[in-house]
Amino acid sequence: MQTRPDHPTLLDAITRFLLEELSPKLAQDKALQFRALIAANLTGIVAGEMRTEDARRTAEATRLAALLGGAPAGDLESLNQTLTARLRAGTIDERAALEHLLHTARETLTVTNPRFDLSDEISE
Amino acid sequence: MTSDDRTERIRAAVRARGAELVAVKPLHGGACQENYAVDLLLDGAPLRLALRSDAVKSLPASIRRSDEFAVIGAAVSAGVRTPAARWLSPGLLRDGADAYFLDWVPGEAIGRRVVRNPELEQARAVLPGELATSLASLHRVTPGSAAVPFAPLTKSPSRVALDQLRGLMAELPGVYPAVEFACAWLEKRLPRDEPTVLVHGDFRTGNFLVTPGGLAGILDWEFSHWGSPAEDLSWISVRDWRFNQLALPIGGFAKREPFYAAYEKASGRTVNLDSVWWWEIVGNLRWALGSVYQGERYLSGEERDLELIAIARRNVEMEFEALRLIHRGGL
Repeated sequence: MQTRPDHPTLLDAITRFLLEELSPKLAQDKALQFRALIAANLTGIVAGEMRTEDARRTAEATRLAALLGGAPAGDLESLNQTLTARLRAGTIDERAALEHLLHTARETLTVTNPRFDLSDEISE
Repeated sequence: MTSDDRTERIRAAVRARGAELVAVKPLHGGACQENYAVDLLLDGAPLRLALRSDAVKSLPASIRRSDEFAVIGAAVSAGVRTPAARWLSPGLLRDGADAYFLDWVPGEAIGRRVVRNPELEQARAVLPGELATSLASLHRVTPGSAAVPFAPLTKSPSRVALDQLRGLMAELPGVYPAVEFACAWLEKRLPRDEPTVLVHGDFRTGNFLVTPGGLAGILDWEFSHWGSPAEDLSWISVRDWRFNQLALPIGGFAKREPFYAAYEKASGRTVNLDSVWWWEIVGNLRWALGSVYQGERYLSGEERDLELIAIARRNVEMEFEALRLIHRGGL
């Protein structure tokens, strides 16, 4: 199996190509240029997700296992299914669940949208 | 259908109304309808109209053009600033697809331009009042109005909304713990004593035509239904509809107070802030699941549109916002 250059590096190269070489040439077709920027954004997100996926899965699963208090060990998907079922049944500490869900959303957004304002309080 | 076939069908439809077709131009449509700019001669005078037709496929909760036509009629009669509809034409573009024509109203609707463009600065100052006045007029239409084709609700609007969220969640593949959490939270705090009125259902920046003078018209009635006034009052504040102007919670162009005050003055109703807050959380959840749904449309193979699948990856933004609002509220 070929591993070098690795997948996120390849995606970064595609992102750079779309942003720096292709997009400026599409100024005559704003709609197409916009779609090229969407494509660049997506390849950038996927590269970031691949680099951090293992660490984020482990962190989320560890937090979930603690939150579910002695839930049978399993993969992240089954832990989230258990969480969902217990939220529906109302058999979980609401405050701890909220902290976990916010933490997880913040962790994801840090990678998928670094410009997203993650503050708890937004001054209106 | 070729564009020639389409033009001939439109030509025949307007001729039946005594008008001569001059030109047809496709407009960027929505998910549930096709839109065209249509230039005519009516009684010898040039007239531009917008043609809206049912698309092949529609979104959940979206209504058909014939119902939309009736709702627009009711809204215009109630004094809402919205382009008037005429010439309901069943099967205009294809069998089974209704279509109608709207008065052509110039103006800017693209959200990021409405909230930022310098030439619309004065417009942004008067928009809260103008929107609130139109919304108050709309909300005076209540069940019992013969002009509106919707069945009466058998549950409160908030109960309906929460059931819809759960229904959509069950329909989508995967689990959504954040939405599940928020639904359980909302369940315990259902607003009580809500009035039931005609709501627009997609009342937000992006669906208002704006000129430098202010509001030119409210568009896109495809999600209108019997609902709570707070539903329309809050959807405009859903985070994504602020177009990155987070500090301006009314559509990314105004503070809350002037909008609510103008609505109270025009409607004679009191704006219940707890209820608006509840519905703002619902709005963020609707859009969170709606974005997942957009991705499913791509994955089904029916619509290979890059934007759809990109939107699906943004659902966590709306989920975060719903959780943040709950957290900020003291849980």
